[in-house]
Amino acid sequence: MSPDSLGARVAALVSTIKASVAPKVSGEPNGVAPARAPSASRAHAPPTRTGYAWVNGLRMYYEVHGEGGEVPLILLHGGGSTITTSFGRILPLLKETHPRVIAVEFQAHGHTRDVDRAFTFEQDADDVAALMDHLYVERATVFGFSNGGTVALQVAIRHPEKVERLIVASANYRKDGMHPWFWDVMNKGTFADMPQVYKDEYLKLDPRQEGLFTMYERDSRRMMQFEDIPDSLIQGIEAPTFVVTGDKDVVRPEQAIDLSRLVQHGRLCILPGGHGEYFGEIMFPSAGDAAVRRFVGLANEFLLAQTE
Amino acid sequence: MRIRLLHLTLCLTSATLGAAIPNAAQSQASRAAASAPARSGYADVNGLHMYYEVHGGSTSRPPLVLLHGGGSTIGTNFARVLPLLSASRQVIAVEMQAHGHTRDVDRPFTFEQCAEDVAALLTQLHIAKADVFGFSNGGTTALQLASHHPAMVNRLIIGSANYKRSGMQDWFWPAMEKGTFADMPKPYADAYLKINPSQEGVHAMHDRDLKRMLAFVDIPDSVIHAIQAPSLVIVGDRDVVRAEHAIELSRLLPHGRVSILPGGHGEYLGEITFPNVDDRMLRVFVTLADEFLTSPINEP
Repeated sequence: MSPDSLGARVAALVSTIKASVAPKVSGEPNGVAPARAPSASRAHAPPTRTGYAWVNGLRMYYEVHGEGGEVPLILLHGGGSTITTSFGRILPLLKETHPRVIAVEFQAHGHTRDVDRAFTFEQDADDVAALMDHLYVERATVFGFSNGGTVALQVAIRHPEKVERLIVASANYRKDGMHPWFWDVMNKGTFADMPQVYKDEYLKLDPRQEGLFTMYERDSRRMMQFEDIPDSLIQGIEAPTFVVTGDKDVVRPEQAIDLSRLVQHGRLCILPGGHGEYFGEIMFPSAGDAAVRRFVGLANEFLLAQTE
Repeated sequence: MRIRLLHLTLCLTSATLGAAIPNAAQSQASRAAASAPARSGYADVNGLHMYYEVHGGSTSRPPLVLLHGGGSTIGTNFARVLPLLSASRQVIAVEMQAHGHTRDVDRPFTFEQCAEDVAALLTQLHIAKADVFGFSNGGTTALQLASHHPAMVNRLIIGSANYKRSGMQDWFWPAMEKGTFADMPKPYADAYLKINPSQEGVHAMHDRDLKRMLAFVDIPDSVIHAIQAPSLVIVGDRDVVRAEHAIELSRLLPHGRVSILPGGHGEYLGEITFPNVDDRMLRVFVTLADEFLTSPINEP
């Protein structure tokens, strides 16, 4: 697999989470934006309710889809993303089998404004945990994609009592979990490389260019400063964990294998496709319904399986 | 390679398998009976009287040829997926030398020979080009077929097969060294004896497969790298074939893709030693196979 073989698509995708010389934004607005409806692409899967919760100094946007079930499914999006870009396609299918799905938008993403606070995977994880408290959710199944998968690991590490099961999709926990070319691309990328669809989706929720720049910059810097999660912490994860990646993903399959073996109850799944293609991430509009349903079926099999 | 290792696999997973294997064998047999082939026959190929089945009528797609694994028959490996696969294309399944309906003959038993037998059968059936899905030892045979008869192979699916000794989990080879007939999973012996009630026959199958596996010689990387057929490599995450090996194989093949599915050796197929696999899991495999076989070639 070469950078060329993956094409501009992945290069552009990864550029959304890379360091750059993106314009500095001053006077970061910390104000309250009116909630906007989820974008039209999700009109067929409207949330039961949406809201903002004050967590750790952040006014965090969340959506609740359905009110049933004791253990909800929580969705954590990737870098440069919103609920819609990561999960717009799969959410309606997840709702068919999960009585309650909760999706969040992280600091500086989508509806959730940036705040003057460090932006780390650990902080995101603490925000998710605080949101669960806010919603009186004791335990949840956490499904994180890409950077959201790294956050999901941190939720399980830092708040193990809150995590029933984990789905870690196309996420790395080590720098070498990415193909080597990824870091080269990261070093060279600029805001201009960010996929237009990500920009468009962000601006639908918050039409401020500076907000979009901030998201880009936050994600880029965090990725460039990525530090390996020590094996010992991964080994401490007791929640049954489903590790998924694409066979042409930016995450190396070898790392997916390692992760699935390091956690105490790990299963592994590698599916044909690129970064998120197997569940219809927005960069892959041509992903077939059958493929998306297949992933949902596999995820549900994992969630229903007895633990050994 | 299915002989001893499956016994071990079963031991390792018996807690989750639940249902008794002999019952599963019966249900498999009834399933197989429920999807009888459109026709079956024998072809004389390379001195072998080789059994084959044809399922479904011919379609615009190339036929799909199924190659079973060690200790196996068409039914033990493919009974559950065969009806799903043959819904949209013609499927041709064979039984290799000393397996199922095909009696042993006085001839070396090698992967290369099995591949030659398949090629000769296809020629007799006037099939110029086919898709090939080989499971376990059948996957190794499929690689040999693609290597020796590239013009006959349209696309390849390699399920839970190794091409190097190092492709197996570490425990596999010591277990094989100690393998005896008693270690062969009972559903395999039962399935064989149902087709050919000969103790001599079932022992010959076991001995042939064990001996061939112990003598396994790596296929050189250069041979794999020369295979031009688009190939999908599949293993289970708890397979006897290492996940790393599947990834390595998929990268060495010039047009290789890979899928790793939760489960043991053939669990994704609903192979006879995994009686509790539900239909949804089978559909995961069948849709993956179908999408791969029908996708446009778009190599970057």
